[in-house]
Amino acid sequence: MTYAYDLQRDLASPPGHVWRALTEAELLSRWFMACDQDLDTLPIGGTFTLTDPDAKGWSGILDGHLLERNAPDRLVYRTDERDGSSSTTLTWTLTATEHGTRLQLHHAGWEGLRGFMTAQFLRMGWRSLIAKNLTELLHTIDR
Amino acid sequence: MDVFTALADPTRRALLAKLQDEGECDVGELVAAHEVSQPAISRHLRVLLDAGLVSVRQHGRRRHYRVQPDGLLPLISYLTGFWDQRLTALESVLDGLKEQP
Repeated sequence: MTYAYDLQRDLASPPGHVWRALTEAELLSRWFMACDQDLDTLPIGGTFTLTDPDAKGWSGILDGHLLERNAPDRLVYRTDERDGSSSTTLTWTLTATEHGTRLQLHHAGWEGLRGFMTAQFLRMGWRSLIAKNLTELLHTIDR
Repeated sequence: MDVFTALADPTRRALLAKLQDEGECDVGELVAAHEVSQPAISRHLRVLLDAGLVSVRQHGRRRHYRVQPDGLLPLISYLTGFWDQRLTALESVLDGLKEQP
């Protein structure tokens, strides 16, 4: 059984700018994780590495595989944690809005108990940034 | 030991899942379910106790363990903080792009 979570944020910039921030190595390293390839020019199927030196609770190194790219609307890649503990897929979707861009992330492929918790907590935390009904939530694990 | 290290181990995650399903177990029940030696299970339970992920109740000669959901709060605040920080940083990167010609 695998789990997914979704994040969404409305940004006051046009999709072209958001696309650059999601694909250019130099820009990615300034907000997301250090990236060794430009994802806007990397061939589909190509590989890259994302690193987070401040990672807590995981290795901080992701081996990326570019799966799909449709500028400036959609970017899909798989990330395998270097220590083998997870393999998940990130789907970024950009939609032009009146004031800028709606950015959505679908992060799928979380496995097992840790995956469930991660997905649930992120979904829940995203709404309130505060844990609510945690006891009740945990009672639903693996049922 | 902190909650991140405690959850990094697959046997400890399996123990938590079992406790979650059963509500409460003693060591013998956990040993039977996991094909891991009793000393190893006891060591893992000690780690989970130290991390605040399980609690223990003495019942006669047996110790019964159950999940302590509040123990997961550090994980939640890390994960939510991770994305909140990242997306806030994204907004400032985007502000920088606006100022470029």
